[in-house]
Amino acid sequence: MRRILLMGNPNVGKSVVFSRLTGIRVISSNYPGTTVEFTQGEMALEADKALLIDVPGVYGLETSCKAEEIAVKMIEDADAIINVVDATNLERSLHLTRHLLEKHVPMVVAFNMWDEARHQGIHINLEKIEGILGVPVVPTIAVTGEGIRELVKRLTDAPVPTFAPMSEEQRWTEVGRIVNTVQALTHRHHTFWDLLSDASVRPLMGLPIAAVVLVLSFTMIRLIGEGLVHLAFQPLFEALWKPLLLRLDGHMHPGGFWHQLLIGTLVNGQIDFVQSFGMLTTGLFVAVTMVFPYVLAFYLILGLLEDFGYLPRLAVLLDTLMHRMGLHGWAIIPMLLGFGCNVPGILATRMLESPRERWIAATLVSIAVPCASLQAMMWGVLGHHGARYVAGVFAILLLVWIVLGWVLNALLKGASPELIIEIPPYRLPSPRAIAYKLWTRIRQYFKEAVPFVLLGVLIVNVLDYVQVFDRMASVIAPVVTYLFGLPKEAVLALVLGFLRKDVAVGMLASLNLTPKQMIISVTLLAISFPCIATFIVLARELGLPGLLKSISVMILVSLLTGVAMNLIL
Amino acid sequence: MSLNQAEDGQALLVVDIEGGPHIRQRLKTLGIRPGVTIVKISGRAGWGPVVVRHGRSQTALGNGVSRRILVAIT
Repeated sequence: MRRILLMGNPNVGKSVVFSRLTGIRVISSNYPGTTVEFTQGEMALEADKALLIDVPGVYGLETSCKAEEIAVKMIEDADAIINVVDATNLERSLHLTRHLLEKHVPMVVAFNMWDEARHQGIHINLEKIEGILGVPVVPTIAVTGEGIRELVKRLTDAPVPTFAPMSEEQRWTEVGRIVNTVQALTHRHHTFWDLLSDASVRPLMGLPIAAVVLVLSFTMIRLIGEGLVHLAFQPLFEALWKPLLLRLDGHMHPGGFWHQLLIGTLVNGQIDFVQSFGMLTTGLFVAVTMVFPYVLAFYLILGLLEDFGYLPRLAVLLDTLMHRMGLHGWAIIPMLLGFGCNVPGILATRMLESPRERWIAATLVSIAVPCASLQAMMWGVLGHHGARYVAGVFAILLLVWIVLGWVLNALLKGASPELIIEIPPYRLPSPRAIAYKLWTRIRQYFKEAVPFVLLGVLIVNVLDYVQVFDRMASVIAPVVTYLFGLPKEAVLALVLGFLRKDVAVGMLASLNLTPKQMIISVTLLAISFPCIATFIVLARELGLPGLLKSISVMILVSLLTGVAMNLIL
Repeated sequence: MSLNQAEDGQALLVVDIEGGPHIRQRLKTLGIRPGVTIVKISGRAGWGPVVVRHGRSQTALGNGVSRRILVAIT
């Protein structure tokens, strides 16, 4: 099969072009570096199939970083290259293009974001540029799919370029000359977006804007999440699923193993969705009704912030704070992703430069960033006592995050690297792109999280049946009761947190804890062992020594925080 | 003078970049190299990195980096 490389600078829309060509969904956002490892897929080329490889974004082929080295290696066995260029930023994009032409591989160039270039008053003479580059140039708007078909058509007879290699200085001069010949700029007044763009990176205006954006985002997530739970998911669950369960219940013997496993314990002779703890009752209820609406709301808001282009500005504003924690501003992105699910959060730490930074960031995500499932359950079990209890848990976690980051930075050798990032222009998110991304993430939730929830409930029931929990509880109970002031039943929930945080909080709900005990146990669940999925990713990203270090820190922080909360609250 | 000493809102000519080839390379690929004109948007407040506009793009530069970029007022 022919191998075709998709190459370009970061944040020019390669991932969108990739999904257009292959039909494979990949997450793209309005900030550089969303594609941290390369993806490949099949695309139709004439009657044949070809292998399309989405190479991580690079600025050049000078092999000054890992991504560039990989890119250069891949070119060696490529049959053709699709070079994606940001039409709004020709000079920088063409430097890579010119360098690629020296590799003598058949190539087409997509001038992407063509609509935005026109909108910004950038006029590019296509005939001239095609003449100079000697390979086909196709204007594209990847988010809507415009120009993609033409791109494929012209790929089939793409010529082999014959440019001689030149030095880097010469290349920059050459590119400057090309840009001057083919591009004309019409003067443009500063728009509202420019003013907003400048204001949101200046601390005086930017910090208040950031506060408003974050508070608004969390409020929206809560409102949308809660609204969906009460107006849609819960009534639907009661109306559609409950009758089926009741029929099943009628056919089964209460108290038997299968009844216990699927339906659970009846409360006053009735199925209780929160407390029965069967796979088909509490398991599904937690996964679909209590957690999913918040996951949906979170990813909708995150998607909007990502595509609007706000996150790099937040990174700029928080840079000074993050430096105190051994990181730089960019590390806020893994943290924010961690609020949805810790797994993508930890994966995103790859965009940070040094191993030291990656370890600190991954450890902070797994200890102090509660995922959407856990947050949803927090509202479920603490919300009715009052929003201030939930706010309390968030405040404690924030404190742990800052203090731990500061301590780790002070203890670990090495300095935090400098921030150098490009800030993309604000863009109005395209509803299609947002829906696409949301759909991808929802599918991931159903594919990867929901089975674990059901498995969690299954394991609880089996362990309960063979009475392992009682023995386990009596061993750990002294720690939990003396140090944290929790009843010994809470041990089960804390241990279960290793599997799924939401299932664990579900168990806490049936224990009649006081609000104080509830706050302590929910916070400990957030801090202590990551769920199994996070654990696996941590192990993969940090390696065994890194994982062990991270886990030791986690145990220490859990003990200290638990004791401190028990004494102070 | 170095970039971090310049006033916000000033148009500046990049004169030289001190430091190793790695950092020069990185900045060059972002479009910041000797001979280019940039406008400093933010960075005088003592909080956060320096933000500059050049052409139609914006770049944020940590304080350690901005100290090594030598500029002249145009």
